[in-house]
Amino acid sequence: MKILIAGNGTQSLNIINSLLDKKHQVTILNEDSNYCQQLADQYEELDVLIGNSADISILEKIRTQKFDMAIAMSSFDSENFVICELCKNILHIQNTVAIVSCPHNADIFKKSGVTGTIDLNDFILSCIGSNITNIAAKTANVIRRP
Amino acid sequence: MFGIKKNTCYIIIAGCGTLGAELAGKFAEENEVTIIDNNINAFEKLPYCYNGFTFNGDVNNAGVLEEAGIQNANALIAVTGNDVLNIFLSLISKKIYHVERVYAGLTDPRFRDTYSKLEIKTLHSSDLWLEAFRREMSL
Repeated sequence: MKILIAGNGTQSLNIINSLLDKKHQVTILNEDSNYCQQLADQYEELDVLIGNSADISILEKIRTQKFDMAIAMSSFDSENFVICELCKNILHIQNTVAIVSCPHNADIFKKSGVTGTIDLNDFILSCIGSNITNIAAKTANVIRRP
Repeated sequence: MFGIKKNTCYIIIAGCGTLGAELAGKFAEENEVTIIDNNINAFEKLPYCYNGFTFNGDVNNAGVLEEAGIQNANALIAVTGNDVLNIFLSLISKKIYHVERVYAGLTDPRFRDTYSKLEIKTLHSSDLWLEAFRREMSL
């Protein structure tokens, strides 16, 4: 698959690693030139573009490439939303996936046609939640056993 | 100022910078206004006689807009200093909350095409300068 990973943030290293391992063709779009340089040095087969992902002039450059999927990996929901919207409207990418930090925004992403959202809060809370119920169950047992 | 307001449009302004504060002060004379900013100290920029609402929250979270009553808003003005955030606010106001009038302030002119591609009305301070200058020249 041809995958575009956009958004400022430097957490994409592991994802890039596993996608390249599975022989996907990956393009990175990031404004941080140091991070881009680091990625370009590390992975030969990676396409790296330096620029803001909301800048149309940058997106026009890769317009001719047919991406199968876009992943918005910024730590700001607003930026991820704009990336998904531009990927749909300008690059005509059908599958868009975004990281969402505010649980409330996940609904909005879905309503506007983003294919997948990864809700970090939800994930963390679900882990804590199951632990809390476990702890509560244990204490309940303790109380019942006088 | 303390009487019943004539035109009761409900206007939400995101971002209490110098522009947002000035607009809020002027609009609040005749309309219902809520201004949102994530920094509580930013509201000090509002005019002394400002009689609208202030809302302390981060507009990266759409829940903040809902709490401010975006469903009943007639207009949204996105004037945070961040263009990507302005675009996000404009898009969700139009597409999700169906706000009639949406305007965004343009901070960095390189994003001008992004605004126009996504059909968001925007204005940069240089536009006003150019217009004023052209008017002077033609006189």
